[in-house]
Amino acid sequence: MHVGLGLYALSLLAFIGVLLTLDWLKFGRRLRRLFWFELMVFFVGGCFVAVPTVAQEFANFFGVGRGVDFVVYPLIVWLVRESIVSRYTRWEEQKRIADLTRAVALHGAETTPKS
Amino acid sequence: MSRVAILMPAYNEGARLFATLVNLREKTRGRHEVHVFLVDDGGAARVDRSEIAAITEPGFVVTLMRHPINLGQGGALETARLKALKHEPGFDAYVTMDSDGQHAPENLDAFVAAIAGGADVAFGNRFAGDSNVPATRRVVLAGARFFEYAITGLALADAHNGYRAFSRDALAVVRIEQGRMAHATEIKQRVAEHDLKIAEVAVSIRYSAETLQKGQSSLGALQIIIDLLYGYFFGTRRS
Repeated sequence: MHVGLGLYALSLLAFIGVLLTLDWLKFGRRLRRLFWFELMVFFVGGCFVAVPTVAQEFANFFGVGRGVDFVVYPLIVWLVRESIVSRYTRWEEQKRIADLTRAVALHGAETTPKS
Repeated sequence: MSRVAILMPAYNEGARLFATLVNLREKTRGRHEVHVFLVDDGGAARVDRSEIAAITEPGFVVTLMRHPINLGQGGALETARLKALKHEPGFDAYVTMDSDGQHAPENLDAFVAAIAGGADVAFGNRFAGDSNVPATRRVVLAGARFFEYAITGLALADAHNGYRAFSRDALAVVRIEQGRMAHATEIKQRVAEHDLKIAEVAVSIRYSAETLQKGQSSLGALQIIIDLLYGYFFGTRRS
């Protein structure tokens, strides 16, 4: 097992560390379970960065080819899907908020002079 | 004397709104019975009900609705549309008009005549009227005109003019889902979907430094395209 920590790998690991620190400060103390889940996922990602041969061995096992393909392709598919779903959810939520706001406005409508 | 419903969104207009309403009342008195469906779109400066009541009179009625939060011009117009459609008896024409005084009430006669003449929808054309359109706005509107023709098939002289009129039947099918400025294009999409009969009316739009500063920026065109894209994927295809 070869640990190949080049400049890029070190930068990526530092980036992961910064994100974890920020998220700990932002929500980690309140949402412990979510933070531990993120930590676990980032740890696995960090292992792939620090020890690329691990990803290669997984890729060989599944017959994918390169280790990076094994990691990146499913991630891209998932992220695209996640982006579409979250945008749709936001659209639906905005629509619900608009409907509620409109209902309040229509309920409180006042006409002058009163007929 | 025709009965006209004015659908008017207002957002932080302050004194301009009252000047617009008073001007509308004065210019239409004795010629039209006007009912303004005014939507205060959640601005920081709320529209004062008592001040509104003070400027109304028989023949110039105002229904005020308040959004607790800002929905955008399209969202406010949709609220006004729903309220106006519920009003019985109906009106001879339903006109959308800005609350900042840019739209001249003198043009109302032409809108009412267009609807009475059989048009389902009458769009204002600021280039045919006495308007002081800035050069940069002309360039952006030329691009918008081409863009709207490409996606709706409607070749109108003026794109994104908020001064327009509908018959009651047309207003009933022009449902607005776009909360922000993309509603202007969405309205044309609905008009094209339902194959409504359209007319164009020459209107005068007076731009001032104040209204230009507050109004839509040229960069807003990009946001409109993004909103339309979301509407294309997530919105209702037919009302």
